[in-house]
Amino acid sequence: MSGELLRVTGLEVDFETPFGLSRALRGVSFAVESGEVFGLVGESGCGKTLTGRTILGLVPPNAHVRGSVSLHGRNLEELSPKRRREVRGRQLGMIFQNPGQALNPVFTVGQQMAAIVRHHRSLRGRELRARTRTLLHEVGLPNPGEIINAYPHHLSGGMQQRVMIGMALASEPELLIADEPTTALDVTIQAQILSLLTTLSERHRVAVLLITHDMGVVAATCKRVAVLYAGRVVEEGPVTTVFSQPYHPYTRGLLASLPEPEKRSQDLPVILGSVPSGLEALPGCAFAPRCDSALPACKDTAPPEVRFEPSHRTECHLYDSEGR
Amino acid sequence: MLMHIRGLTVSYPAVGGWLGGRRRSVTVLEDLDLELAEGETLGVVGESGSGKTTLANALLGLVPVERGEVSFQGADLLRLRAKMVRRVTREIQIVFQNPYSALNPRLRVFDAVAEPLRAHREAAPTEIDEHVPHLLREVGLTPEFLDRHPHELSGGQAQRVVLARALALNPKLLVLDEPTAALDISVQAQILNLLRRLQREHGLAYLFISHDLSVVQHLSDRIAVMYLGQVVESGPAEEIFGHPQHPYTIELLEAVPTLHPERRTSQDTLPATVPSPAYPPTGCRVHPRCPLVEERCRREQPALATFQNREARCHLLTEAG
Repeated sequence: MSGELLRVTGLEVDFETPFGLSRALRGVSFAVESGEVFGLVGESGCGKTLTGRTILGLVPPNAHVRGSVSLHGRNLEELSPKRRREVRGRQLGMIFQNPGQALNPVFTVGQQMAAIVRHHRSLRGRELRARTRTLLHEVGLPNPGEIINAYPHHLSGGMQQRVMIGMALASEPELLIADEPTTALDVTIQAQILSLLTTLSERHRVAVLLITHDMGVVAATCKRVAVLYAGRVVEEGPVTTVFSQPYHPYTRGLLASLPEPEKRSQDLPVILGSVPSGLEALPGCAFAPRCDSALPACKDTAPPEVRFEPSHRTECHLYDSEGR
Repeated sequence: MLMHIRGLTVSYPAVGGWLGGRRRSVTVLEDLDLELAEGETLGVVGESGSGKTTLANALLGLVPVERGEVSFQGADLLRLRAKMVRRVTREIQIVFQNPYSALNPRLRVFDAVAEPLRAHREAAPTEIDEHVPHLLREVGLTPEFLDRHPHELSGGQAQRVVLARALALNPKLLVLDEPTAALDISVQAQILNLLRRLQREHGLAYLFISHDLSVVQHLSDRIAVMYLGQVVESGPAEEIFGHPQHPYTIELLEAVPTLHPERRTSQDTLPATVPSPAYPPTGCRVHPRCPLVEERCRREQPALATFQNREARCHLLTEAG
């Protein structure tokens, strides 16, 4: 790995709602290195999709964004709006959960892809077609010549997602933001798409920010992971240590509640209660009301950041600053 | 046996050609044989297009059945006289994936759960008033939920209401079609625990349909693996998950991402995508994506054969004995 590509620092997003200000992100911080697959995992409403969209600047007008997003150490906020757009458009790519909805049904795959290729590189005619074909080939579609003339509905979900990835690669981005890219797909197709993402990161040095609710997908694909809860990263570190030795009670609870072969015919441990709404003021730890090990301090004091190994951190009152 | 399914075949009409000129039919379930004992959980797994949901719908009479036999507690479900339909089918209830679309948004929780009792004239109004809170308690909801509407419930709470309604008529069999697929992991665990408790306390049998193999493995006593409308392998859950024999089952299990990727034996993934059920492959339906394919597999369709502890549909297994 060669240094830091993306750094998100203290990202906060508030929405104005008829019921008051809803705090969707309450200070999200993490960093993605060049060429790595980084997992952003959490349950619905934790802010994982919003984090991805805020990095791309795709937030609705009623959102107030604070905090910073930097690429290669350069804060995007310091750029002119025009330059910022260029940087995002060129260096970031995004793919979504439902490729069938993200593709335009009335244009062929070739037409849609060519439009994007043309935007990023002024190619025409034969060169343009060749580049489109190369992209389709790179995402593992067997016969690009046929796919180019196909309409999205001719393709299976897995093939559509490959086309989406190909389009996202058109600008040769350094970071691909993949928001639940395999949730709508069968497990066998999911395995193919995940292995494609891994290949892209290894062979083409494209970093992937993989947003998912599926811990298994993270374990199979990512090198490092951040666990989000109520708009905050509660734990971040290498997948191997976070999953084998989770420190935050929420991470522990989530992992314990997964059905696994060893727990067959047993009751699964559950996390009681529900995720707090963005409208609630959370002076202390957002997880405290649901936490088995909550201390008095958890209710009204924000938990400190605790570092274990240099790259594994959590926000929790249970550990002192030396990580015990 | 609570239920015997023999040779169940379901086809949908497919309209093809210019302006729908050519008519053909797509067989989505073909000669399906399954058995379900009282109080047992049969997990049905398969990719999209395998026919899992059609199986659920066929059992409930929601889709027309072309041929076959479903014997439920001795009665042939597909040939019931109109009068018997209500008596027998109340024993089979279904829970769908999305609780919000399964609940009428205008009905309060009380009325949603009371509806089957009223429809079947099961209880007098005063009895219903007592029974509905009791049913809610069974699924872990307090009486304060009685006056809520579906939009005031979380996904897990709404699925509990659906379960309470399904339990209202004291069924013998619950068909669970992806009951936790729309829920978060922490809520999924609660619903899975609830399903286990209800089964224990009410002696319910479950037909548990899911694409999530870890969830199926958690609950099921026996497993049926489906592919393009056929069962390719079935048997006790420990056997199927511990020692899968059919090449398709092996590949399917390999594809599931686990928390422990280091335990994985190979990184191979199934090469092709699922063919359309409208144009099933010749011979063995799995052959275009089977790593062990032989000439015979392309020509002849293998029959479902019984081995020591399982049934499987594969030429290679039949040859190996």
